[in-house]
Amino acid sequence: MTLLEPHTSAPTTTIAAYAEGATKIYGSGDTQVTALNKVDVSFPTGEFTAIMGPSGSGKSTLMHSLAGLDRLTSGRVVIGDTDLSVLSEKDLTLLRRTKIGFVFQAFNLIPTLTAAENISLPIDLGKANADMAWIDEVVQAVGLGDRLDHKPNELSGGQQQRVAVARALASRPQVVFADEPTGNLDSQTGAAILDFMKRAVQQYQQTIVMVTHDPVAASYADRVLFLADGRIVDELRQPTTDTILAALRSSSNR
Amino acid sequence: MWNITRRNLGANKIRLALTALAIVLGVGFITSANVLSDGLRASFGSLAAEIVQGTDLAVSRDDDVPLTQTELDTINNVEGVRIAIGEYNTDNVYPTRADGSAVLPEGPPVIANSWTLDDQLNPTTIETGRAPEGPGEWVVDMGSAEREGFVVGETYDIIVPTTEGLTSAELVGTFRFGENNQTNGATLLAFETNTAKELFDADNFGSVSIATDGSRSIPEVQEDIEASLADGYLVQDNGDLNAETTAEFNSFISVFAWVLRSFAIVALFVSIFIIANTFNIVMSQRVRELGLLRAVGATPKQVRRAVMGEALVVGLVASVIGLGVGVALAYGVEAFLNAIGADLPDFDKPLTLPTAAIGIGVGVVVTALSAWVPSRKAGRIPPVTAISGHDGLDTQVGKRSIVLGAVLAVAGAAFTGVSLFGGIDSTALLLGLLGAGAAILFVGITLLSPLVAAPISRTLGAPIAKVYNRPGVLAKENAARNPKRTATTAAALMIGLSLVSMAFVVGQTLKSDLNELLESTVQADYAAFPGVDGLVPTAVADDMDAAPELDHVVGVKYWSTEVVGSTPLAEGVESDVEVATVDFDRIDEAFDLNLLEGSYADIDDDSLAIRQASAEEMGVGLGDTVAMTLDDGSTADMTVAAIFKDASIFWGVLVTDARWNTVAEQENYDWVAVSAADGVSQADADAAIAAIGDKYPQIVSQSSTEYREEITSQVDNLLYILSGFLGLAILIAFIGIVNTMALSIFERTRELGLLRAVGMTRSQMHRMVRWEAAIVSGVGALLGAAVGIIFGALVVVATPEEILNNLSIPWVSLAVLVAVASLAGLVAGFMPARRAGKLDVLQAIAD
Ligand SMILES: Nc1ncnc2c1ncn2[C@@H]1O[C@H](COP(=O)(O)OP(=O)(O)O)[C@@H](O)[C@H]1O
Ligand SMILES: [Mg+2]
Repeated sequence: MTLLEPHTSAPTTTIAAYAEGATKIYGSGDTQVTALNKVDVSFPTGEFTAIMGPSGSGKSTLMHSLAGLDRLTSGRVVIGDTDLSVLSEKDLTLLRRTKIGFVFQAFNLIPTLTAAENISLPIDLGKANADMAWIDEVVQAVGLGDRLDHKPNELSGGQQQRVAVARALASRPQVVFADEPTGNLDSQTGAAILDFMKRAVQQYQQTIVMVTHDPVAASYADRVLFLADGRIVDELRQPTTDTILAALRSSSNR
Repeated sequence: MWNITRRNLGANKIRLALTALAIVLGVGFITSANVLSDGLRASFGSLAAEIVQGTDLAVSRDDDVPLTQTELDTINNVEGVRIAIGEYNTDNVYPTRADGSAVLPEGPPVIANSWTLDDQLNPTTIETGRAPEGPGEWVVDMGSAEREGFVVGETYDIIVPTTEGLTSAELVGTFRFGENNQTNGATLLAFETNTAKELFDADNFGSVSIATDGSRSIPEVQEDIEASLADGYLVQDNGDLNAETTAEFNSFISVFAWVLRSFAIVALFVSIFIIANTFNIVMSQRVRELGLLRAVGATPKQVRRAVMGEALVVGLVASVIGLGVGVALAYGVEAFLNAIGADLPDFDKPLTLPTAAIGIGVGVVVTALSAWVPSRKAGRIPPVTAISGHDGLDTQVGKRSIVLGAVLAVAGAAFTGVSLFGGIDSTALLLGLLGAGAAILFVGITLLSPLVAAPISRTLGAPIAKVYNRPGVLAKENAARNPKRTATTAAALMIGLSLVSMAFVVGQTLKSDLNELLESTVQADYAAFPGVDGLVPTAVADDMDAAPELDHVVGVKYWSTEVVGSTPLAEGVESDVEVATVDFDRIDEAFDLNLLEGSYADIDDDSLAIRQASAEEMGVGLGDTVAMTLDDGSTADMTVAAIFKDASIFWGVLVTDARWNTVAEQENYDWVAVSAADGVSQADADAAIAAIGDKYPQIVSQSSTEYREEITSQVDNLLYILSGFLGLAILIAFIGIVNTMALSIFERTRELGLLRAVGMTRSQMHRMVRWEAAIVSGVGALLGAAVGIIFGALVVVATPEEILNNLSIPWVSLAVLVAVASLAGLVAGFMPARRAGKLDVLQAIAD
């Protein structure tokens, strides 16, 4: 199987991750903020989901909770068949290392490690033997060539984000979470990153959840979830830029 | 701008606390040195006053030659003198306890006097029993009686400097010295005057004390006494005496205080690096804020002042705290000194105004010096930084600082070189040059060390990366990522460890040289030494001769006198050389002096053997004549009959016993070499030696290996004490490492958050930070050891060959030192590691 070969097998119905009654409340009394309000959502394996919504709607909170970076006030998150709410701090960390991949908007890479070392970082942090063939494949796919031995500050912004995506894929995680991965890039460079992510979904049945403000970016996804005031208010399958813009318009009119 | 200074102070408490800690400790140490010396001065000052209390006038000779009965009679005839008493005193008499062990001056002195019959002149009063009235009687001060278990009515052996070496006497009483018997730990004993004269082996009076009868004023009597004696006598009144005694104590105390102070200065010097580094890092973390200040209109001068103001407040507060710490530390140093056998008396620890002023002054000046460069840098931050967040200050190793470092290193080396090899006579100038040279050299090396900091970090980190995988790799790379910071942080440790390493190298060279020389020179199986200052009675040598198990007994006596050869001496050059005597018929049985020319058999009363180096200095060879000054002031022409090489036991000339008696008034031996008789087993010889040791408790007899080991262990002890004092500078260096690490952690919040997000566990993060601290420490330790070895080698080369010759580097000890110092970095990294581990991942990645 190579990246160039299109993925043809039937879509699977297994669930990579889900949240049930996910509620997150910040503060108490007068200053209390309900960032997530009983959200039920599931992410089937091999699906590319985009999450959109106005600022403060709870996108980041939802993503952090799903990714084991933050704990819910009530409700639960399950990654694969692991219930995060019962995990210790250490087990959560190990879960992030093996079952979850991350791409942030910026500062994705450790400046003292080379691009190649950054890619294999989650695996190198563990004792398990790496699937070298897989890593090689991911590294090839990044298309950095001889720049792999360079430190992040010698790479362009687009190259850095590609390395970050490769790092997220390296441990073959259950889910990859990306928080505005193209937010800091020009549209052309951003498109290349989104292509890269989309191919990972199509060819390797990688599950990806991406927060974005950009309807063009969201159009690369298989579906778009719309969040407002801590609730999922809309969902769009096989979106295009136009349908997304329409949905955004209608949700903001509501 | 003052407002900004104040805000910043409030906002960064931990950072401030860590910066201040270095100053607190430095000021604390220098304060404790002053507190200790003030306290000891006061304590010994009151002792001095009690000693001379009842004495109206005292007479001595300018040249310290003891007074005779004739002079005493003259003084007693002066009108207004009620009584003049000649006293015998010595520090060579020691009582033995009931179990036969001797009370020796290991710390406070043991002083024996003739009992003064006059109540006014006698600073002591009988407490129990009675005063000594004749031969075979003695008295001791009440404190010592209790401490050592002396019981009135019992008979004890007393060690005396006669040729018999021992006498036994009944303790007939105890006395109180002054009001409270405050002897500062000294043991005081007394004998009846004629008994004292005999036992102390004294012909004349050590001192003459005078009480006036009140009929005339003391100055009048003083004048008349002066008139009645020939020139060359000194008549002192009570005030003079008190001042003289106090001055004697004080000169000793001030040497001690300066030793402490020099360690404090090293600690403060190290602190400068730590504080400067802290301010530097803080400045780079605050560039945006400082840039904003510039953008809204603050002038570079105002920014500089804000930074300087912050530093000065920190310096002032820390110095004040340092004063308190100094007093506490004074108790600590006292305990430390007592633990290593100083046995100091109880004394106050006063914090005087000058002490406080010096402490605060030093603290503030050191802080101001440290903050100077960072404040200049802060002033140079361009306003645009407010937006870009980029500091515009290079963090990479700049050419300019490398050039400056090279210049300073060369200048420092030149200073050091001149002080070591320039033949400077003044000790103060030499030490000043050496200190300044070393300080400049250290600054130069620190500026140059960023060049090697990264490669060393990577080399040291390689095995750690192997063992700990990614956290290890990150530890290594983090230590290497900012060579300038790593180098400056490591600099403090480098300085501390280079001094310790230098001491190790010099000490090791001293030990191995001595060992080698003694091994080849001394053929005897055993040596009998006086346990303390004092001599080995001839009776000991006689007993050894008499013992059938022992043979080849050779006693050695040393003195010093003027010996002048043909080379004219420069003005003020010391022409005294050591003159020694041994039995030339037996010398080969005990020593191999490496005889180069002539023969011992040729030596008669008008010829001598001379050490090669001394002969060269005097410009004489075999058959030439030197002039040797005798006891009575005349000189004897002595022919050089033998030239030897040794420089371990004989340092000048060797003469016959008959000639000796015209040079020095010493019958007893300085030490005695002795071997097992032919065919006697070592065990039997050991037993015979032990029996003699039991009989003469003042004697320490050691086998040749034992005394070589003892000399070695004395050098070791000195090294431990030195390292102990340098420990403070090293402690401050580690505080600097904690400080830098904590600041770096703060700087890398984002990165650490990312690491945690992608799966680095807390314990992995702890490990990463702690090993980074260890690697930084390792860089400092390694550079320190390297610099120390070079310094040590220079000292060895600069020191005359007879003292330090074959450079010997204690590789194992140095390796252990470097390893321990590096691993101590793990401890230094503990606090920063915990902070890193506690980091809120969400907050870190959300910023
Ligand atoms: N640590 C926090 N403490 C208090 N309130 C928070 C915190 N984080 C987020 N919030 C609040 O929760 C709501 C959702 O925030 P967030 O998930 O960041 O939204 P989005 O990512 O969609 O902009 C907002 O009202 C925000 O102010
Ligand atoms: Mg957000």
